[in-house]
Amino acid sequence: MKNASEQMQILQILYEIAMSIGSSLDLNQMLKASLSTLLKKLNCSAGGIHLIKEARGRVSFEQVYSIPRNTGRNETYQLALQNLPPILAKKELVNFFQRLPLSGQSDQGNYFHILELPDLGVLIVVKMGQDLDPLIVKSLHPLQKKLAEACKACLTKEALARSERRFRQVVSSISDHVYMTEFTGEGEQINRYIAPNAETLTGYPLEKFRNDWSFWPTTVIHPDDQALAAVQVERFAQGQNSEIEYRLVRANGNIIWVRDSGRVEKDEDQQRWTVYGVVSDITERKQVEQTLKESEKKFRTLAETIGSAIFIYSDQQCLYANPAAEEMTGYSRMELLKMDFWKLVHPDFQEMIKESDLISLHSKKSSSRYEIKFLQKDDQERWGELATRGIDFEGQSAELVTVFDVTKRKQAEEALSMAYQKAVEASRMKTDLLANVSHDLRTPLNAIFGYTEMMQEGVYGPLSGRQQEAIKKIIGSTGQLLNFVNNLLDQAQIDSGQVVLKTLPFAPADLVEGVTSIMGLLARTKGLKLISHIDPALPPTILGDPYWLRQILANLVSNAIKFTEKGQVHINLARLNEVYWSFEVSDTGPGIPPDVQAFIFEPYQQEDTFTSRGSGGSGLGLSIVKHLTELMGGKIDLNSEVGKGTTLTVALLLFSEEETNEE
Amino acid sequence: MIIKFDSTGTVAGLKKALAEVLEHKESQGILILACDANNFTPENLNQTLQGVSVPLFGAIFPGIIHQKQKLTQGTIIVGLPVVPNVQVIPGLSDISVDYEAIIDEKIPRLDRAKTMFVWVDGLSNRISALVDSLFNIFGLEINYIGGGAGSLSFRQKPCLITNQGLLQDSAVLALLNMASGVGVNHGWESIRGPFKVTEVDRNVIKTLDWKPAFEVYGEVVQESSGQRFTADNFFDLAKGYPFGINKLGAEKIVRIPIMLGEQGELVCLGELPEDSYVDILSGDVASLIDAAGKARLSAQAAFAARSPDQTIFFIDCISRVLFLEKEFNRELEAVFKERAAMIGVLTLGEIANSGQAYLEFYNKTAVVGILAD
Repeated sequence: MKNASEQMQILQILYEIAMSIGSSLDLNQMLKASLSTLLKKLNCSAGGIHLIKEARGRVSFEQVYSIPRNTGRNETYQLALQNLPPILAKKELVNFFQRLPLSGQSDQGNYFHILELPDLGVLIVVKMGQDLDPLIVKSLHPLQKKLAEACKACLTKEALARSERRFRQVVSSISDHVYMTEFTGEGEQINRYIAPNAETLTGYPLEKFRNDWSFWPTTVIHPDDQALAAVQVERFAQGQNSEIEYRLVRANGNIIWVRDSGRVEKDEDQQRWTVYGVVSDITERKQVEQTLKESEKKFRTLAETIGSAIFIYSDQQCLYANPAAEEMTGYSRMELLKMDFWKLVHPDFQEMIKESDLISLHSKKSSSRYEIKFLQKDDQERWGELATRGIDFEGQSAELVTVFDVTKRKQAEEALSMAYQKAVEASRMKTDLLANVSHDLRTPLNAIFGYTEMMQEGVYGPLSGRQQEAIKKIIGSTGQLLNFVNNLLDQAQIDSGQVVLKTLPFAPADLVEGVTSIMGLLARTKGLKLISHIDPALPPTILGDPYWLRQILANLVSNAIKFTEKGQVHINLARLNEVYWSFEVSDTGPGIPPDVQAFIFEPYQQEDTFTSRGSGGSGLGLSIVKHLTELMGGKIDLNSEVGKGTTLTVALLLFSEEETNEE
Repeated sequence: MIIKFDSTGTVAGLKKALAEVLEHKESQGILILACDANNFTPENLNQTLQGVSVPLFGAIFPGIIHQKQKLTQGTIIVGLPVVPNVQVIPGLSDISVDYEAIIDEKIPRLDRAKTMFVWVDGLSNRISALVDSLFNIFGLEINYIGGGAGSLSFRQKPCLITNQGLLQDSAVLALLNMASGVGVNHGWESIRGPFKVTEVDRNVIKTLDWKPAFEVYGEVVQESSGQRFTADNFFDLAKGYPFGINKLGAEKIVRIPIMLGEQGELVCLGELPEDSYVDILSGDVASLIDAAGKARLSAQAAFAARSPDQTIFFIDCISRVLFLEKEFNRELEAVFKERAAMIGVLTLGEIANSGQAYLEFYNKTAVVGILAD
């Protein structure tokens, strides 16, 4: 038990230590004064403050101050440090603090004490020679608490200072202008702070604002917007937050747009409040908005006047429909905005649209086009060409759907299609009729032709000169008619698809011989030379349909003779190459004008000057030739010059019997 | 260690002794201890000091000790067997100076230094701040020994000896790779207290227990001594009644009132913290002499006989001399040791570290250093 004097001395010392704690709000200064006094008064040789450092849920003790500064050479201090956990989970901290105070002794007989700084860390003191009295150690507890509180105050101040520094840095680094104005319930306005950025924003020196607080509202704010700004100040004066946009006239005369946003913080007594305001340059945004407005106006004008229906959907909800959409569907715009898209689509097309993901409304950026049927309000069906495209509409993903009413075009197409079907049918009936008629005509014609020839040959008795003349004309006309009927029959066969080609071996020479023997008489009659030539390179026998080939050649030769008044008709069979052979018929006739050449191969076409009446042709010859040639896989080529003559060349695939056998 | 004593106290005598010391190859640094009565001034001494080619440090004191003699005139020149690292810390009264920063810059490392001499202008008023800074940086890694230089006239003047010349209001630090042991004791006992230092400006106590300081102090001293303070006898009476600052389990730190201010404030040697408690102390011849002997024993124990050749460096407060008067020789006897050289100084405040506790700026204290030769 200590005597009264000793107890008094202890109390005095503790008091002196206590008075030294918290003498400064600078952590280092405070710790220096406190720890120095503590160590001196307790006659200790070293001491240190270790604060809890937390990271990721784990804590350690960080030495923030010590006397002497380098405790690394103090063996007893190092021994004390060994009793501090290097790192531990935050939840274990309570257990560690419960073990404090910790004391220990070094081999040299020096002592250490680890004392708690509540919620903050520990204080280590080293005493050499003689240990601290346990009563003293116990008595230090209030000082430990005071020291902890003083440290916290310093740390808080440091944190505040850091925060303020950061705030100032932020304020000075941002382009926005910041101000702070205080209002009182009595309507008094005290401008507390104006950031240096005001200079950058307005181009005026900062002193202008600091020396004259009315400079901003009366000079810098655009005259047209000063009334608006005054309303804002009135709101602030009433303790209300306010955000407005107005124009500023910069020192150089340029006008900029700003957003002035003020937030009110009221004191606890509600009698005084501070407005923290930020003035941001929004000129660029305003310009963009203006551009967008103009762009939107153009779009709206276009959308409102265009003939196509325009819908904008988002999540199957119609966000926009134009007047054309109203007209096209029969629904009002309000009805369309509330309607499900699928109600507009004809049931027959819904599946197709869904399958094709056409109206997925998933904002695909690629566009798609389809023709669909849609339903009007009165259930009338209409055809529309529908196109979709993903767009951003008022900040959300949407689908732009345009529908162009193609009902009339569709109706025209349908009418045309029906007309075509009818025409095809009529053509087929005509072909059938022609085939039947031709067949029915040819049978009696053959009889007439045969009997007339027999009469000419005197089978039924001798004929007078006049009779001979008449018979000759009958035979000529009958032959002409028979030829015409045969052509009609061939054309009918071709048109009705009844021609079946055969592949038979034949000698090209026979082909030429067969035609010249028939056509030679006709040529001689007109005083023309009919000359033929066969290319020796042509195989003696080739494969093909000799009947139809003879028809082709005969047609060509017949036409050539028909249209040639003088000169010659030349038949030339040639081997063009390893793949093709050809027969060529040239005449010295009037030639075919270029405009006629374009349709010379169409059925029933003849050049006016060489009408069937004039030339005695049916107008079917070249059409038949072309059809047959193409059926055989060949092609026909026309080369004609008015006044010089015409050459028609039929080129056909060469299949010789020998080559086929070889294969 | 080469020790020369010039009893003339003249610049010429110093020069002669200095030359003799420097003749010894062993002398790698010089320590000069001079008496205030020598009247050394920058004008008459700087040229000599600036001409010395080895590191040099020292100070001028009210008195010096050579063997068992207290001297008020003369100069001791010591040739040190090691090269001292001498650094000057200026501005010892300047409140704006950060001593830790200066020491950090000038002494980044202790290297192999074991002992630091610390001479300060004893009339500077931030001595405690310097002492705290030294301990904050170096702690117990080194032995400190030193004290306040100056004049008993209590008029501040150049009193620190360096290669630059004489300096004032500064401190001179000299680090030596030389083993030492230090003992500290004073023998003053409390006669009244505690009194709370309610107002203080560093070393000037304005109020004690919210009363004018002199009112409180004078009452106790006059009652205890049976004498009255007059306009002229303040220090004569006060030297026997210093203040003692409490320290747990250790001797009180003594502060001597050296002057009385016009407003009744007490000007002390050394600072006192505000809100500290002080006692008024008194001592008798026996306790003081006993304390000096204990200091020597402590120093001896701390030195631990590391070297058979030793020099005793006795730093004793001038106020003890004034208090002990004729009995002071007994204090010298108590500290002196046969077969050991003894030199010393009579200081305005003492700086020492006992080796186990906080470094302090003492008053009225006997500090004994034992240095290896």
